[in-house]
Amino acid sequence: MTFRLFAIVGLLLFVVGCTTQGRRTALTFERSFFYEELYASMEQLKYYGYGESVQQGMSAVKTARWVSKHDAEPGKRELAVRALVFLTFSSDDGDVRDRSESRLEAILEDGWPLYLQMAVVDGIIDLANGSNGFPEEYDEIITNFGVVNSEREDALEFLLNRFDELPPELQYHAAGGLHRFLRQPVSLESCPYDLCDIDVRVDVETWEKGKEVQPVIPTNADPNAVAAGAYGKPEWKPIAEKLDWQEELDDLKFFVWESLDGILEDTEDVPLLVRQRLARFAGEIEQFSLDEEMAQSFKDRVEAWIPNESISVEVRDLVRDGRERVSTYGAKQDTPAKFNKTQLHELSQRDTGFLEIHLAAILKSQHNRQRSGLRAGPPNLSALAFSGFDDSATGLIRHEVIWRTLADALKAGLVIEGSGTDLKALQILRQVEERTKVAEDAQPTEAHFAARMALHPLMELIGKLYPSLERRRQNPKPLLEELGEGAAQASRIADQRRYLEALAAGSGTFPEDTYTVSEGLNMEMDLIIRHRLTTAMQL
Amino acid sequence: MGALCAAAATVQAGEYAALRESLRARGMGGAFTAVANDEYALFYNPAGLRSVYYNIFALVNAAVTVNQTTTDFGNEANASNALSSYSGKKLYLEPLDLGLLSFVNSRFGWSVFGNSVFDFSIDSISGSNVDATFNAYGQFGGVLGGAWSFLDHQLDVGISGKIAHRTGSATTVTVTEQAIIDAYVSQNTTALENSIKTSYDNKTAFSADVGVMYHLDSYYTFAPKLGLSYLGELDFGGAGKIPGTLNLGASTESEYGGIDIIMAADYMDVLDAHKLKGGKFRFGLELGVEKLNNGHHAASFRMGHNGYLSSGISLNLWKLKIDYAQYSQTLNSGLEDKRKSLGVGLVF
Repeated sequence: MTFRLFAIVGLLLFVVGCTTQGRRTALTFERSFFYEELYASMEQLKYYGYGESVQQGMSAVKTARWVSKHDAEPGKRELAVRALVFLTFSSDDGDVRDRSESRLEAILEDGWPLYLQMAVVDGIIDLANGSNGFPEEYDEIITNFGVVNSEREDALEFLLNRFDELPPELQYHAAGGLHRFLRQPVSLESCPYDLCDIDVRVDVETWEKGKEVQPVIPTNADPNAVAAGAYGKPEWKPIAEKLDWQEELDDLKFFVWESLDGILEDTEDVPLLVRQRLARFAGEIEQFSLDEEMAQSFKDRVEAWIPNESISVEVRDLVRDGRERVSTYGAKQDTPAKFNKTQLHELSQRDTGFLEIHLAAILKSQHNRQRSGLRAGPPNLSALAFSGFDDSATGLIRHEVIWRTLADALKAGLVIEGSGTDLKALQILRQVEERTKVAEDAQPTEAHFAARMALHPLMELIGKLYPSLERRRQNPKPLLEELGEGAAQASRIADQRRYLEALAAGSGTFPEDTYTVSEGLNMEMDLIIRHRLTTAMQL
Repeated sequence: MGALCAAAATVQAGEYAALRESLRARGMGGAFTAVANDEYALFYNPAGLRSVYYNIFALVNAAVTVNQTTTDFGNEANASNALSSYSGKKLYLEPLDLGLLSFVNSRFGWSVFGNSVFDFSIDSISGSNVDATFNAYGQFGGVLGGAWSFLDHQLDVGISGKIAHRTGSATTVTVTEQAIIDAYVSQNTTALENSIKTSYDNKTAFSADVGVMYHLDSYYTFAPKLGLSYLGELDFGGAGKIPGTLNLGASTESEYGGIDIIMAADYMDVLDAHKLKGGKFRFGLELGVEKLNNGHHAASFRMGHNGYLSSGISLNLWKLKIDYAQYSQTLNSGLEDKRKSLGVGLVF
């Protein structure tokens, strides 16, 4: 009797039962290795974990936690970590938030792989930027659901409160993330749902153009005067939602800016290179898309850093130099740099402060000459950027300033005219790689961490060398193959990805060579980097 | 006092004694140590609070339990004829198990309760010789507990304190043929009077419970857990005693086709404080569909084994929850005692 009843009820429950999204996603992650499908499934999971029933929420967080820890495929783990970041700060269920946050803490504090730690940082920055939400469909238009500002602030606070405790490489990566956030423009995609409801989000045109505001015309106005425009013309003004979002985003950025105080101050927990990287943001305030009044608040804060003796002198110098660059050349280096050829030839002998102030403007002048059909002239950029790796404290920040400034200039269109740029770049890359290697059974030292951090801007710069090679009609294969080789030999997924991203950057300039080299790679690749490579090839 | 203690020791001998039992657990054969994830968590394993994902407020839970023997006895036309066939059996009745204003969530919880038991065991009847025990008590009390997670939510630890006031008696009857003869023939009732011993007490007891749950999170599909709980002793003197009990359990939670499936196994009373007559292993299975916001499935069915098969069903109709369980206990005599429980509750 009991068994018969059991069978009947079991069958009935099976018919009535409704599988949770967590289970569905778990099944998808078990069987699929197709990035788009996995990504879509995890986005669905975020949606259900955000505000559906408790059962759905718990099922979602259980799946995300399990995949993040136990899935054999690194890319899947990373997707789950991204979802956990979202759930930590956005779910309306306290238990879902607790369990997600606990996993994020474990990832950051318990020595999980660097690529997953970086995924936590990136997930937080993306949440603050609005891109770590979930897709929402309305009238067949897919928009991004961005979480409210207070949740974004919580996420940033989570990161900033732990900044001192993060491993040095991760601090460096987080500094890059904060930079990305501070440079985030006010956009419709990033706008939180409480400011920009679905009607606003689907109306891209109004967001871009604004609303037409008619001039106030008295009732007794002369029609001829009106027609002649005596009372003014209709004006296009930004919509209220855009202004509100500007205000809130500014506040959020200022929250980050204020939090830098504690990090910039001398502490053994944050390497000088990381603090110097953060200090360089001072020269970019004008690029932060801030309201004028808020931009002034940022500058006032900087003014307080410069005399603050709790901040090391090297850091304060960079802050001052960054501001001097803006006051000398303007935020976009519109004022040309005025140096004679001798001075430019001797640029490589100048100190880091000088480079911080003048290099961007010098490169802009070179670029302007190239655009006019002239040769760029001195300085010799290959020699400046790739003359040798110096891992002293001053050497590291010097590389940081040169490599990042040059990478920005190359991104803007400057090309390096000297020959053998790729070989020189590879030479210094090998030097840096050599310094990153840790003997078996040994712990990495500060020098190892410094070299690993230096790899970040160097690889970004290398990824921007392809147009220069094309201009010189150089064969890109040695560079591409070396990057492929570097990826194959990298023991950590984070390093592997850095090489492969630099390689994939070649697809824009040398699609066939990049494709040939990437197809010939004899290595295991996680599905995220494989997806990035494939996407880069398709573009 | 010695007599009282002796009587108390016999109160539930052979049978697992608990302050309060969940009908859900009864349907699962009593395997609940690593399952406890509802408003009864505090009565089984306080660490189970961490598995309560809802804010469960049970305004009232009322249940009644009766055993098969009592039902048969009530239907018996000639009770005196029947008595001889009840040797080794018991008449068992829980007229009311009442829970009031219980609240649990994943961090803490409390419960106020009151219940009563009538338990008449006819240990042996042979001719005119009768050995019987009659226990009856009513009790009320409260329990309060909290739980915390460690090791990235792999280890849950819970503690609780409980207090209960019990009024009850334990009566032993050992009537011999000679005592009856003496009473009728010699008008000497001393032996007959001495054959009935009653202890009565009215006492408050309190104790602390502690429990842990360990989640083996590497097997997500089954989400296995190991549970261990120590439920502190409650000594009500002559009104009975619930010994300190160490229980071990394991459970898995999985989902298939929209059905939540729980499988559980317990090893009860590791310290042998209850002197259980039946086996110590308990096994349970629960199928539930559509968990609602009051923390219970819209419909669930369960079965279990504690030496005998048990089963149960629950319907959760908006906030009205109806539970039914049929289960068995092993009596001191080693016989099976079939029982049925029916409960209704308003759970939000």
